[in-house]
Amino acid sequence: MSVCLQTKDLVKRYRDGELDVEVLRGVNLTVETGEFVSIRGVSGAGKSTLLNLLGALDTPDSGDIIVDGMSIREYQRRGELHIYRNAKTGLIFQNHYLMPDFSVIENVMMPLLIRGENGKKARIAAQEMLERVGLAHRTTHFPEQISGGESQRVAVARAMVHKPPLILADEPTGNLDSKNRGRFIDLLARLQGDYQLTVIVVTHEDDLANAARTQYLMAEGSLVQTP
Amino acid sequence: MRKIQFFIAWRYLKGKGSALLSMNARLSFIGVFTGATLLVIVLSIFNGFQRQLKMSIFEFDPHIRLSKDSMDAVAIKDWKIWKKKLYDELSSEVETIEGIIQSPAILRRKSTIEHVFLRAIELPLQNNSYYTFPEHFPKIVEPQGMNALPKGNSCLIGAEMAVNLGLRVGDTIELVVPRGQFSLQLGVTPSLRPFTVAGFFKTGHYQYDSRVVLLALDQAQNLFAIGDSVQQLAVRVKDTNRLREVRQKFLVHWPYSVRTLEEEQRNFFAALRLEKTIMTTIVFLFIISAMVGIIVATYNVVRSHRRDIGILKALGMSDTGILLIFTMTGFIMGSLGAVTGILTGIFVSLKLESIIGFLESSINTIGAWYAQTFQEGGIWFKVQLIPRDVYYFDHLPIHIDPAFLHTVAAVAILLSGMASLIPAWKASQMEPVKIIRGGGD
Repeated sequence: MSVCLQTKDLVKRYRDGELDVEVLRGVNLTVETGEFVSIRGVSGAGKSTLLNLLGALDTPDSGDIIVDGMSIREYQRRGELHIYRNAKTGLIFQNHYLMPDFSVIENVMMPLLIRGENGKKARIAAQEMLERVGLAHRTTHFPEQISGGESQRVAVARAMVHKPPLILADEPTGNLDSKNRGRFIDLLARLQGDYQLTVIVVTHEDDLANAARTQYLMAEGSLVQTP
Repeated sequence: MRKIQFFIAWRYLKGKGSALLSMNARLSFIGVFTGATLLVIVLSIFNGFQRQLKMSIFEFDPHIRLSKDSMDAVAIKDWKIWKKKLYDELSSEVETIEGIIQSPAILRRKSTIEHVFLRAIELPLQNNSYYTFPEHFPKIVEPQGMNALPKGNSCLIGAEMAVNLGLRVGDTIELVVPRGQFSLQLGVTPSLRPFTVAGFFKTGHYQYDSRVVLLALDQAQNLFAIGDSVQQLAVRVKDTNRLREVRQKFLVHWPYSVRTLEEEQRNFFAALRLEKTIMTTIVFLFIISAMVGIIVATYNVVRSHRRDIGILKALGMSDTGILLIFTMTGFIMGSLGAVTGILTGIFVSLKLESIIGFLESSINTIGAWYAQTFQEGGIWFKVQLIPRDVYYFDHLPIHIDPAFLHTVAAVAILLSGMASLIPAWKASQMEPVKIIRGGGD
């Protein structure tokens, strides 16, 4: 197995009034291609901060992130962080964050269109992905017309439609009821297996964390692997 | 520019419903549309007035006057030779060169004495019995259809003068002018002769229509007793925009006084220039207000789509891509508003006379009905929205200048894009992590 992601001494500080708060204290993480990793931790432990750094939504104060052999700092130096976000990551948030002015299929097409993919091809790929998540009958609906569970499945389709090497999910079941949570975990596990995706999910929920083969615990800004 | 940016910008403007534009875009569109429509209507009327005024002057007055001295006191005896010579030299610039006499005079009618200007021009004589009118001749309003002036002591007077002095066609007036050449020993001897008013003319310029008496040149030569001389050579040029250049050419060939119409009517042309400056200021203010409208509208679009900006950035949209989306929203709003506003403005301007007529007749119909129903006596005085006698024209002068419209459209569209750059740039600089966390921008 090749290494998909590696972080080296990742440090992130936030300024809270007069105080500098060190949220991540030299995080080192190595994830192999096709691995399903969960990171557990209490609120404020720094899970989401780590995920935002991995998704290049935020920048570390020190340390480095290497995805598919290339440092995120290299992307930053070239002014190509947006290319990294589009080509290397697929993001799933706690709130589905679908764009309300666009239909379900248009939301799913978005990463491909941003990449410059032809509209027709993007629509076909989005349609296939929606079929995989069981929402082929909802393509023309708008986000406000579908349920929370369905919205989260659309978010999964959007994160995977462009086949990125790294799927990052931040508390994806946080807003779902137990029935939908179970469905979502099954779906994520199935797609991860089918596509051999590298998935990193941060959660404070045991059932989702336990679905992952490799599990970490984040406490006081550091990662500890759990058995 | 990528299709995706246009796709998103258009969706933000249109909204997801079946309506043509979202509420936000509709308000901005209405702002630009109304501004552009009013601008075209107001400036078309404004241009029309200016053009009519200019035309009335350029139609009636010589564009360049040549005389032996600036006071026109020296008669030009060999004017026919000069006329031919100058025309041969400058035929590329000149339309006509005519000998004229122009002088202040006194008009007497019974006990009424009026100070007038007498202008005598060359009129071709037909069958030795009547003069025909040349191409550039004022419109004859009374008697209608008149196209010749009887030979003899006949004259034409301005329509306003006829009204002011109570003159009718066929009336006799007396004209008193200085006779012959001025001499220091003898001073000026007056010459008096009766003339029959053969008709009324109208130039569209009140000053002329209330003050000028027109005569055939040979009649005026007799009246002034100056033989076959004239006071000036009146030049009509082919292109009135080149008056200064043509003047320079005449200075080479005519060694005496050369005066252009613009020099003689300095105040009038200065007033026109001032009007033009005001017009430009109005356009500028319109553009400023349209820009502010677009900035506000784009800010609203950005504010209501903050979360989308975060998502798009998280999905890999570049800062430039975000900048393009919101610049395009302003650009599309401005373009739609400007183009439809200008087209509507043109349509309304072309139909303005009918629209005003319709409004007038509606007001008068309702007013007459109201007066008959509710007022004692039931008299309704007809309303004229634009009283013809006050504004001194028989139709609403409208001039739609295509070059000006192109400029307005181009500037409005360009500035719409530029105005939306500021909020669009702010949007492009938003940090995705702050938006997704629900923090400030």
